[in-house]
Amino acid sequence: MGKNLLIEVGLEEIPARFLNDIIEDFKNNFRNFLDKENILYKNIERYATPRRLVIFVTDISPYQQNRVIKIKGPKRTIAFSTSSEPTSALIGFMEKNGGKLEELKFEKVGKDEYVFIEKNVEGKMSKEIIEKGFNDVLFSIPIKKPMRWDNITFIRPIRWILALIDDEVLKIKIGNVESKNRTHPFLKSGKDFIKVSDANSYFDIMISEGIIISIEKRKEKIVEELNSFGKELGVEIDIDEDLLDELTNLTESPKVFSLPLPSQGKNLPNEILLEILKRGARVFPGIKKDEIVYVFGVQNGVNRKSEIVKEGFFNIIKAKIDDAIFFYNKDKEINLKDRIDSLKKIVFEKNLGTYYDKTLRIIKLLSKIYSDIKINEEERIVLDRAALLSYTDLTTLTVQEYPELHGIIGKILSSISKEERAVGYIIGEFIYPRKRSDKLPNNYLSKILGIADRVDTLVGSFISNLEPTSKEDPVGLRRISFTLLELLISFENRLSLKNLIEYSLNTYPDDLKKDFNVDNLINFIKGRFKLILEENGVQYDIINCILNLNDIIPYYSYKNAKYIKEIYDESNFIEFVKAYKRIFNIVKDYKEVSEIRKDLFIKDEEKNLYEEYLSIKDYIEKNKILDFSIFFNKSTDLVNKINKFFDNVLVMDKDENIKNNRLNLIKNILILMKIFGSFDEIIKS
Amino acid sequence: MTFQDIITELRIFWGKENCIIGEGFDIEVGAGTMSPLTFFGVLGEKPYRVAYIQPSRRPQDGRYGDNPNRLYKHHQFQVILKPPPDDIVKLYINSLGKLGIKEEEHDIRFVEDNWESPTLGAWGVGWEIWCDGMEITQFTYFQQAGGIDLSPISVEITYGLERIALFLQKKGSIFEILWNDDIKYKDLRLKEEKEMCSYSFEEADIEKLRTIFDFYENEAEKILSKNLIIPSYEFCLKLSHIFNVLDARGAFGVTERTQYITRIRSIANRCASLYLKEKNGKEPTD
Repeated sequence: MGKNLLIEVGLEEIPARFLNDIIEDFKNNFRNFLDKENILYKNIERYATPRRLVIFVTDISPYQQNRVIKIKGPKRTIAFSTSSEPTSALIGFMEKNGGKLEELKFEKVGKDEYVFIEKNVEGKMSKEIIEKGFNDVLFSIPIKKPMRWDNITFIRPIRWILALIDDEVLKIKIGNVESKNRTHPFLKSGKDFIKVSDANSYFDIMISEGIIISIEKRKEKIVEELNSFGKELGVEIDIDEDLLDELTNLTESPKVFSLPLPSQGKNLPNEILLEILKRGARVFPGIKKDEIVYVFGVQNGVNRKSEIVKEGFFNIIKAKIDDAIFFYNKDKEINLKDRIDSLKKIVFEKNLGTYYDKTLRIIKLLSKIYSDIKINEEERIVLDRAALLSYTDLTTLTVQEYPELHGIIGKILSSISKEERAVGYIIGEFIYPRKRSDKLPNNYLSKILGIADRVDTLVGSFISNLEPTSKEDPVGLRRISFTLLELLISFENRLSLKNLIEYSLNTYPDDLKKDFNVDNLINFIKGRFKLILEENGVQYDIINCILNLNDIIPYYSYKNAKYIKEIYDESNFIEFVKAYKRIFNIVKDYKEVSEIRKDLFIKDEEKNLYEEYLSIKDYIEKNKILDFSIFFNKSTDLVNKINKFFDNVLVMDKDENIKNNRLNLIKNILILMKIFGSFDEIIKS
Repeated sequence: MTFQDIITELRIFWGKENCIIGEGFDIEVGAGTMSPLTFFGVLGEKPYRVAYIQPSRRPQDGRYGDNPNRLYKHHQFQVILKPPPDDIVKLYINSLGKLGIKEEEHDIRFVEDNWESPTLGAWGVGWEIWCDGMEITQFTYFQQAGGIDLSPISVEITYGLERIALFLQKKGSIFEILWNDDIKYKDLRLKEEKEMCSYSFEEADIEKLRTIFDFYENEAEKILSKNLIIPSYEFCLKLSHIFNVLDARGAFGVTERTQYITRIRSIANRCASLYLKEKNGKEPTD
């Protein structure tokens, strides 16, 4: 069995939200380093707690692999004289690099042949290589919110380094911290340090200290203990993923405890209470018959006395509930509609004004959207009201304390403010989905408000140059466009990206939008759309066919993409695409579209095609067809007639008028077909 | 342990760690950070340690004494160590031990909480420290103050004294805390809380305060040009408090609010850089 390498970097508490990325990057950097240095190993494992970043490499070879390096010399023609004798250039090269004439290699580089010396380089000790390279590996981990101390920049101060290959200590130094064969126990716990005499014994030491170094195992332990409490107490536990991740990375020695919910909890609506417990006190709610009866916390330190810890948590939960009741009662005193003016004090984005401005923009935007969707007068009134009040709950004390309650508080207060039930319902759900695991709103009016809200944010952010870069997306615009598309494809509507963006643009003052480019934003949103289609197994040529249009109507684009995927192999479809391409190849660059003159037709095939075109065009326009399946199923005759036309009619007639009339005819047909897609992108056929 | 005993214990503990034991600053401030003992102390390279109690006013947190957990004025015990010793976390935990919070009995947790004071041009990273779920301390590694990158950095430990007393005395309300064996917190402070809230939320004369703000700002600018750094900074603190009262009164629109903050910060930043310049100029061997 080979030797094992253990490096534990001990720090002050790493923020929970960064721990996963940091340890993953640490491992990847370390692996790349070993590979680059030709150090063989069997496996790299990574472990992390808030205070420890651990890399464990098994079967690490004690030496770098020997390598052959090639040293390039002069051109062959320069290395040797015409009589094949080595020139002074070659001799100098060989002397400098220690090569022998009989061992020279020749290789072509570009057009010319060069002289090479091959040298075996013996591998150095792995230990030395790691000692030398370790700091670079560690400090090339990208840190999102770094701090500075002792001229070092990292996530938090590094306080110890344990570095061993089996029982041999590696010499690593960071600032004034030197590596030793020592680790540190859980916080203080009496001992200052623990000796680790061998890399392999580290794991047992951690276990005996009650420290779980694996992120995954800590998480598992918390979930298991929660489940067993749930069973024992007969409650359903709301195991919130975000909270679970946070607590997993806030503790290195987690243990779940249970508490009854303090009785004041009953004075708060459940929705508020859930948030206060999860985000405020960071405990999991346990629910029995729609009522929260227990809460479950995770203490740090399995050996800590639960009774004392529990008492503290119980008091703090009680205090947080008292606080929330105070806020909630104050909030109830002011109706939502009387809060509208206060929105003038809450900034949405510094270039884009306040939430008051945003609200006004959204209401204007909605009035335009109404022309593209089915909505009756009564629904309009409800939706306008909901839009007007949608952000007013940002002015409440409760939302200022618990931002995640935005929407929920709005809903609760709208019923207290005697707003229509539907208004409250929309306010409560239009903000979803906020993250990937959230569901879409149920109500169609909530979706429309959600669409307007997101279009406003997207357009506004692009106006203020907040568009995402490859590294940064501060507003979360990728997520927002993704959600916008999800909403748009979730119910039948004719909202096109271009219209939405232009409607929204009209709500912004002129001086802001001078440099705004509609196509940039459309392309950005199309980028997200591509991902949605890919996730649905739509192949790339269909995606191109659907998205390679100036403007798209996401509902129909999505529907049509799925339909084309279904009929992709059918002969009818293949014929359709062939016919499209026949036209496309001739008129793709033909720009002039003028009126088709019936009197210029000579052959039956062109008259027939024209008749068919008119009839189908008429049908499409009258019924405002955007659904490709309908068009496709009506297009059999059109396809036949296109083929007959090409088989019997020579487009390029000598007579300029006849020729142009024919080009005009097929260009018009292309335009009609292209409503549904750029079928030249389809590879099949 | 009574409220005043907690203060005494912390003074003794940090005094033994070679801290200057200072007194609370006598101008209204929102936090111990604003005291010149911290603001100027963290500037420059010379090692420095100080600890003091600072009554801190945050008009917006005032609840007329109705809320068991929130106050117009609370008390901070502020510790500054420049540079931070390597075992600072352990030192802090030992200090809790002196208050009767034995580390081995409690769940002490470090939850990320970064700190920023836009009015002082200062920020740092660190944690709020939880003891059995209760936030009892703010622990910050200062990175910048007065717009100046600090080198070396300082660590700031701010004990929330009311919170710690709540925890130690197992009370449900701050007002029930024992200040000493005979006097409760409410006996000493409840009336003040109520009246200060009435003033800040209802009575403060917005227009007059704006006028005073302008006057103090002028004064600060004027004396800064004569290198009277400390008096200028004192006016800066007055500005900050007036700003807080105006803010609690709801006097600001969004843009205006930002403008007021910028005006205060501009003076704070200039005080800091003048202070540093003077210090380095006069004590080049530092």
